[in-house]
Amino acid sequence: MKVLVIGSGTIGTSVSQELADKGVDVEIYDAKYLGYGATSRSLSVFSVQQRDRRLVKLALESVELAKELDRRLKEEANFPIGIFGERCPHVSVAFTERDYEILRDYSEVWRSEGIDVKDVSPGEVKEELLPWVDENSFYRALVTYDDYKAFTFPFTLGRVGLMRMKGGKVYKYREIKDFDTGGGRIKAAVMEDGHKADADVFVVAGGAKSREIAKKLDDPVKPIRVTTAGGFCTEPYKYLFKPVITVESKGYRLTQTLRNEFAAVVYDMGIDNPSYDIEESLRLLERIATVTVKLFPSFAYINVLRQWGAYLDYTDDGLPIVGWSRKYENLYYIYGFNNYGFSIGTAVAARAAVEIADGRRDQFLEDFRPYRE
Amino acid sequence: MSVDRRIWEHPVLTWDRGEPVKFTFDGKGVVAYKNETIAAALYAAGIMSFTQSSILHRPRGPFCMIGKCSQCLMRVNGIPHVRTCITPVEEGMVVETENPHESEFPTPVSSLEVERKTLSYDVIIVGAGPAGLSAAISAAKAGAKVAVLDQSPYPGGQLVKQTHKFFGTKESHAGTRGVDIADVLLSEVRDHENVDLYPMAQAVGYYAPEGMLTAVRTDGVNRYTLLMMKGRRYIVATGAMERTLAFPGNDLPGVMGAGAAQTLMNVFGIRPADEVLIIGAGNVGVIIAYQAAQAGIKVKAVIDILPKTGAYLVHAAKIRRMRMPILLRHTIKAVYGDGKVESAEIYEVDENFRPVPGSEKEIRVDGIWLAVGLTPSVEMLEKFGARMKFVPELGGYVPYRTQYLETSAPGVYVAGDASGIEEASTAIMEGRIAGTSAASSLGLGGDELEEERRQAMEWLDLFRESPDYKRIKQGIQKVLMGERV
Amino acid sequence: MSEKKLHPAIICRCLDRTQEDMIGAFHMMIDFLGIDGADINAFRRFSWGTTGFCQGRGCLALMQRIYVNEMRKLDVRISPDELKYKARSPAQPVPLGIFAKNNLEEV
Repeated sequence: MKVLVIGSGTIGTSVSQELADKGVDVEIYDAKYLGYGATSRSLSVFSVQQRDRRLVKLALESVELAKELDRRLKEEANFPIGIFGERCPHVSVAFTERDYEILRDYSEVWRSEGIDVKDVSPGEVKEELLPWVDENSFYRALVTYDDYKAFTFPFTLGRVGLMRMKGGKVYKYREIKDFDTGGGRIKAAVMEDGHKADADVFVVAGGAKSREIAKKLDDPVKPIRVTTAGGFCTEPYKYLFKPVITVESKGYRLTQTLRNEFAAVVYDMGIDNPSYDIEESLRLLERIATVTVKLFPSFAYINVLRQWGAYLDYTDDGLPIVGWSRKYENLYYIYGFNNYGFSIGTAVAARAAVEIADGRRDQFLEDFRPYRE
Repeated sequence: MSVDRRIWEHPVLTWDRGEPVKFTFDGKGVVAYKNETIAAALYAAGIMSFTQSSILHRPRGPFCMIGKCSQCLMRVNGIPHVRTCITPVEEGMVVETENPHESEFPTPVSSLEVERKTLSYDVIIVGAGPAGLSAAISAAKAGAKVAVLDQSPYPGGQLVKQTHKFFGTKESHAGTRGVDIADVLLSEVRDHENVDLYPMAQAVGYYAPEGMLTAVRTDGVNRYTLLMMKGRRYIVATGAMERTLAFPGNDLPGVMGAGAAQTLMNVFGIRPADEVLIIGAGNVGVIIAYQAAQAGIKVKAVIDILPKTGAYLVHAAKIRRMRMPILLRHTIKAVYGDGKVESAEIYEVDENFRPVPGSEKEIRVDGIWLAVGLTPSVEMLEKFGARMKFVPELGGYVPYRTQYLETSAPGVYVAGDASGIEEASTAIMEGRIAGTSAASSLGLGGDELEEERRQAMEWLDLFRESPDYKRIKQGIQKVLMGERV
Repeated sequence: MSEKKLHPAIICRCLDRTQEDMIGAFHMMIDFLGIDGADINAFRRFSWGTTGFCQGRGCLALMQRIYVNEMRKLDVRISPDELKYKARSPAQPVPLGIFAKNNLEEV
């Protein structure tokens, strides 16, 4: 069996590598460079702080799979840093009492999957986790300890390496412009230069760009909302700052990377339907700077080295889009990962690979089907 | 500290160093002068090792002296990662070395003050070198409201580092020293009330979603102005960046770009070395060799891998007369030294650039200056979305442009070395063309403006007729677009 | 001359990557991604070049040269236009506090 995967982000590379492991002949095509898009702009945190029980479960499953990937990169691919992963606490900060109530509702979801959640005062946060935080800047915080932070590049490009060891192929800067279809099947993907790539199965893992592919195929799948996001990275400092910090009310997340830089993202700027150019924006820089300096006043003196823009694919029910097309029998969708593609993508991709390669239906994925209301 | 590397006698230059100020460096007192930056003052005091590299713990010293290379980062008044080469000294400052990858958190002694300004201009010019200043003058004459941003405290670009007299014609300030041309242009800019000059203002980016050019002006330690600017037209005159070379020991303190050596010698009046090897015998290499001699530095050799010098004969002849050896078909093998440059090993190459066996020579020097070419600084043009192409004749990636120097990004013009490496006189003319074109596209100016543009274009055409310019003309053809309507 | 300590040739001063490190990173990239998957962005990621304090100003040109040379050894001709890498804002490292507003509600 030959599978053509469109997209080389977290999802595309994960599905491809899982398929290659099953002996499937895989080819990845990306319109840009490998790992382009939301993936290389993410903080690479596997977060269990999801809003839905099913997603929490998938996040926990993803962490285990990520550790396995880390081991394989070190042992099989002779890649000494692996995915550069580390378990870390996750501090969700509430600026106001109202933020706190919303967070508490979410935390019930985490608890129901067995996650240990601590409800702490700003003073306790300062004492136990974040000595630099201004304890007067926020109301309360919830802390979990099951998150895992890694590095995006060894994760995606490492997956590609493992996949290629099994005979998989990868093509960058090859945008698929059209499809040859007939008899309810996709026959081939057509590139700009007219080159055609055929396959038995086509997998759409193009993140926010997947919307354009479904549109081209005139397939009435569940709509997604495409919105701007982005982040930045500072100069490095002594590594002392293990936790991931989230401010849900501002769509904000920050951590110190294992390369000692501080990296932060805003995962929804609330600006819909941007052009697909990844553009840096001043508003985003201002939001990240404002929230960061509010929590950590001394960070005002830390230099920003680079910033980036991104776009994300949101669904109205907050669940991803995973499953076979009804219009084309050999077309499989896997996208719509809101802002948690890195957190749960690994597990979903592994399950999807089973559906694609073995033809079995995974009951767990039934709630994520592409045509749900 | 008894070492003083300052130049107190110079045939051409004098320096206004300002009042003495005292600061501490790793606990020891240093005497400096008010108009010096921290790095310049430390260099003057004989300090060459500014930081330890992160992993290999190698000593490093300033390489660029313009805030780009990151080899002079120190903790200043409790703030880590300060670019000491562009930070002026202040009385009582506490300067400490650090491993920049293991910096302790900021413990500032004063709080951050930021003033935010939102401004609108007809024409915003990035870069106040010969191109930027000339563009500003031309646009201002036509009545445009103009802003000129420059990252350095001393506008004038590379002109302020040039002690020699320019040749060419009257229009291009022939017979005047570079540093004096800068003064002429600056005073002309200051004569126009409709031009705002912003020194110490670094353009941070052009944010397309907001349509805003953002710049940060440093007003002092911990004091900044955030400039958020909207321009109806933009002119990018950001000049060029120095190229570098990979060879063993290329990071030893004492190895620096020619521009850094010029900054220390000519801007601050500090001897970067006592005995120097210059790599590259193009115009920059031979001019800096001449400047070194003026500053009392012994030039051991100027080497170039090519069989002939790329410099103008006048310049090359001048340094040959001073008995400085120009060794053609020679290149650097390695630089040696314990913690700083102590010697260099060079060797000869054959016509296929292969080493000639047995030709290795050791030269004892304490400075290695790289003058191995320039490459256009085009980052701002990229941020404006201008389409670029690699053109070797022009020194690297350069923007497509019309004959009026408008790039593929509508309303964004380019002038000077950012459009392709040439020289100060062509930069001045390109600045005039871009400045007049930007103004006239806004409906400003009249016949006089049109005439100024015509003359500048004619001058450039004539100048580029010289055989030395054949390659550059070919290069420009590769990125010339039809006229935008 | 031989008794003198030969220093490494440094390509990336910020993160201390030598010429040897860079060439090693190039070949690791080729092992992982193949020639079809390799590009300057992947080279940046494998080598960590361009991600330090200098924002690529010290290393990018040298990395581009290594990329072209190593590819030539693999019989692949690279046009410099393929090596264009778009530098991100800010153009100079700037303190975060400059962009911070006083009030959370404003952002």
